[in-house]
Amino acid sequence: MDHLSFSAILFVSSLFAGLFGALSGLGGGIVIVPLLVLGFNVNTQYAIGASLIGVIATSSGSSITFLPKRYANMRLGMFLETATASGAILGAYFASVAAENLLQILFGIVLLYSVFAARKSQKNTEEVDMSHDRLSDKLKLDSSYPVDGSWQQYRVHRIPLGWLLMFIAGNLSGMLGIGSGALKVLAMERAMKVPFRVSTTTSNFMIGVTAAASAGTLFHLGYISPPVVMPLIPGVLIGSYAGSKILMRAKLSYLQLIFSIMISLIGIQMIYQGVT
Amino acid sequence: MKNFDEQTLARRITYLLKWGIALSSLTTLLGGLLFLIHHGQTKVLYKIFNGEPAFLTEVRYTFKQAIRGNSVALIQLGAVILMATPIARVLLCLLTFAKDRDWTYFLICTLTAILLICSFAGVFISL
Repeated sequence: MDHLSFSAILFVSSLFAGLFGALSGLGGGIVIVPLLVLGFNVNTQYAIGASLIGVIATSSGSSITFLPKRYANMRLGMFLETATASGAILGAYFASVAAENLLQILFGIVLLYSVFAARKSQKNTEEVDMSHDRLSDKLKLDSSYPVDGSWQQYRVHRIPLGWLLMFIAGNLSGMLGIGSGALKVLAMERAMKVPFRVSTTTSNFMIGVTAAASAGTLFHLGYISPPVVMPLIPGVLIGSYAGSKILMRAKLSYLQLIFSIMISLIGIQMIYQGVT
Repeated sequence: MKNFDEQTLARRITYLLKWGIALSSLTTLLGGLLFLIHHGQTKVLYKIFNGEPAFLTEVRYTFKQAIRGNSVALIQLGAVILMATPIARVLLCLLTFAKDRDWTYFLICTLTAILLICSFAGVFISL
């Protein structure tokens, strides 16, 4: 294949990757790596580098849409970024020493788990635990978010556990070139008892910093290859933007289920590729 | 209710991210067009990992080559701008907290900024 057709096909594919990522709630990155590895026969290392760039683009792009809506808890995000950034740098180190097929298998497992976690989160009802947490008071993490025109108060709990889970999320992000959105939401919603809406938007807010932390190191190691990255940036940006617009308009539970199944199949294919 | 500061900060961050994306997209697009004009017919080979040459792994060399109109370096510069946007966002928060004399969050943002900048400068590779 020559570069012209490579770029054209990759651009269209990353449009769909962004769309898939947004509609399934898993983010663009989780589709980009398998797309490059399985679909374009690109080495896992280059795929991880390119995907991280796509992840940063998606995070920045979607933050523009939702930050003015004031769901995200920026203080919480900034505090937890110390965890995800340090985890991501360690993850980038793991990525540089681990064998390619080990990364593929791990990717498949994380992908399957993310689909499972994202589907579980969607079913959760929003209940608020208003008991005080000493550390949360100290860090001024308690906040409020808009629900049907009024402000709903909430408190943040179990900060050390949340921090630790975020460190792991960052680690996987740096190692596999994904945003780790599903794990971040899980850490905030389940461990720290933050409302779902706040968790997803805060997670997205943090993903840019998380991915940049490992991308910086991988950039030096030559993981970021311009011809692979080039068609991906506009593709993912446009795709995820379109996806988030569609999400706002309609309830897509059936479509989301189909996407989740398709992404699970990709996960299984990744594991198979790693094993053989 | 949320305080006023947070809203202002959110607005500034949004503004910063918009600029980051616009600038990065334009640079990448320009480099991409040049690249496809010159190398559109060359074969794609990414099966084996070979890393990248020094002018694509050191920001100052990438910048130098991009200015000279090297297509690949221009694309890479677009990627660098994209990676630098979250760093700029952390620095913006850091300055805001310093102005508000919120030293806890000033320290938190400083720690994140140090991690990001060191990663970007390749400090963690020699460790």
